[in-house]
Amino acid sequence: MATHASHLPLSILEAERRRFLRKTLCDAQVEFERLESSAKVIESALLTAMGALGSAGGFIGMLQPEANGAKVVARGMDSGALALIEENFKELVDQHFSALAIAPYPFHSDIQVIPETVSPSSPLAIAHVRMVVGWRMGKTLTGMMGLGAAITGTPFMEREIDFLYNLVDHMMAALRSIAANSVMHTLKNELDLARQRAAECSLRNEAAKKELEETLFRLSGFNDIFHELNGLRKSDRVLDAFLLVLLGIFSAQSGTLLYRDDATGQSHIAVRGFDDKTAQPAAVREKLAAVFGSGQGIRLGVMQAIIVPSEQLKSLDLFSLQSSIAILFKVDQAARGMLGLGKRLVEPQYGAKERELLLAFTHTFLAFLKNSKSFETIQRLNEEQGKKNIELEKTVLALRESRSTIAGLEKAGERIKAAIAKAMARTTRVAVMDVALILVAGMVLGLIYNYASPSGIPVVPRMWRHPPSPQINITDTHMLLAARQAILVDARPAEFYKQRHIRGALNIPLTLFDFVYMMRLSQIDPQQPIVVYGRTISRHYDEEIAYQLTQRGHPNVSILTGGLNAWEAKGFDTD
Amino acid sequence: MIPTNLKAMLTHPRLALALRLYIAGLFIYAGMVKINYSAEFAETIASYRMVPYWGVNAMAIIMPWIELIIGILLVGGVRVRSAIVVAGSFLVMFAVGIAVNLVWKAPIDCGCFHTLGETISWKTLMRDVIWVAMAVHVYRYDRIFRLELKIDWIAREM
Repeated sequence: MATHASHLPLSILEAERRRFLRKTLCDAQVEFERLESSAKVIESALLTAMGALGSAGGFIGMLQPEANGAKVVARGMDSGALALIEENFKELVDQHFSALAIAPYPFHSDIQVIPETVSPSSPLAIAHVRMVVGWRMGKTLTGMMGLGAAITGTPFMEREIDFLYNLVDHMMAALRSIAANSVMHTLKNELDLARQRAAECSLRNEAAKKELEETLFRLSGFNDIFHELNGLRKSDRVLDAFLLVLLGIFSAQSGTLLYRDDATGQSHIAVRGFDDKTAQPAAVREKLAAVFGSGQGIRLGVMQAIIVPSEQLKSLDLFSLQSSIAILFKVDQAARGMLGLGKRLVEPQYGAKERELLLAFTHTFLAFLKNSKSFETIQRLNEEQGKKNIELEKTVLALRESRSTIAGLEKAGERIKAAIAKAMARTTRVAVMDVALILVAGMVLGLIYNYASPSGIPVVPRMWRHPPSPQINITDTHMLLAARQAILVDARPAEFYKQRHIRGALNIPLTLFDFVYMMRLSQIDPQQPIVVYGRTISRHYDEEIAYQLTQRGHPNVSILTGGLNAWEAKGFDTD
Repeated sequence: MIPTNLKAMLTHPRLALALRLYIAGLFIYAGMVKINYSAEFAETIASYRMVPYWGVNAMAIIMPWIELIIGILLVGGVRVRSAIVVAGSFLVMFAVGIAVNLVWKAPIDCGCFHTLGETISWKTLMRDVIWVAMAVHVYRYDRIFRLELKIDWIAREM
């Protein structure tokens, strides 16, 4: 080029040179825009400057405040000179460019030509640097480029200096662009990060919301259970209410709750959403015995509940309920039960959380059930106490009655004693009452025995029941006898007859009547008058014999008026 | 004047007890014999001619039972004084009846133990009088072997 240039006029060469420099600038600008890192930009700027100015060596670097050092790139310089420059970079910048204004934009730059008189020990002199270019971008970014002398030996002209200013401006623009890109990139990254965080936050929010909803559901369930079960004092009502609330909470279609207390012998069953006539309290004991006897329930402690494993659900007999989930529970050793729920209306399956929640609800329910059981026990004890009190009152009453009875008996005893004492007193003397008693007893016994005995006799005289026989006076009798028209009969006993009797009289004692009659009177004319006599204060023999004769068919039987004594008084004959 | 020993012997409760048992046996026997033969006994009573005709049968029915009761009471020692008074009264009544009929010279049976066969006599009357004396002895001196006293002891124990 030098050869060629030597043949051209100077103005053309100058123009050529300027065009070359402008083109280099444009190329450099294009190159800068392509590059992505600031190190490559400054390196490219150094190479462009060296190429355009024909410099044999050069360096370029930027202060790095954060590292408290400088990053320097060199071309055409030995490593010793580079190290020296690198080591004294900040001092060199401060020495040559401390006056550069700190302006945000546009950035300032400056070019200094190193004079020939510079100290040979100066790092720049050692590195053979003839011109330095400094720039400042904002407060911290400060850089410096140094260029050695041109190979041609020609000093740097104004056009080269302008070129360098322009080059540095383009370089700073590129650096700024890269910095801006970097900032933008950083911002973009941060934005992405923020977006990611926002998404995570959103997810967390969703999770928290879901968790809140679940907590709300759970608390609402507990609230429902507390609200419904609180205040219930009877086990069967607690069971009914709990099952109803559970169906509501879990949106279950059907369910049943079985409960038995072996201590009291009571069984309860609650049924919802299905119809089974066999679901009666009487069947509860058998069902529970089948489940708890199989070993599933034995592991249960007091106030504990377990969910029946799903593989055992099919073998569980809960009447006609197709249970999707079932729970076994124990209040104490004697009181236990089983809960079964059918399919859910919304979600068919009971998830882990539902299962956990159901278990928690069941534990709450167990607390209520235990309370109701305790209340029932208290009530039962109160009733028993009441009954005992009543029995006690009865006993007290009975005791009082017994006491009054005893008092009565004691009084009676006293009376008996007094009676005995009185009776004893009577033993030593004669009592009219005793005599009367003896007589009355004899009378009663005698009458009874006489009534019952075949040899009994009439108590009153037999003749009182017969019509009285006609009487005949002594004179008429005497005439009849004298005319032998009548038969005279002495009715007295033979001893009296033998003592004394009316002459001609026939003795017929009552005791011998049949015999004597047959012997003496059976042959006579029945119409013949018969006159009977003989009576004492104690016996009216004449009446009795007259009656007997009348009975034998003798119509003309008469009684002698006055008897034997009147006969004698008349002076008639006797023997 | 009766010697003290003799008096003590004569008034001894054991003698009274013996006489009581004797009279008791007498009455039980007499009652038992007549209970089943009331018709015959009625005739005997009638033969004494001291009882009105309307009371003869009743007396024949009742008297043997009263004799039996008196006998039992005397054996047991229950209401001894009352029983012996009734027994004595009966004996006095019999004695009077026998005496009257002896005066009347009525040839009747005694009817004391057997319904037939034993005609009344002064001997019979004497026997009755002795029995009356025995009854008086019992009335006055009998005080041992009485069932009532045992009952009283039991009552006091109660």
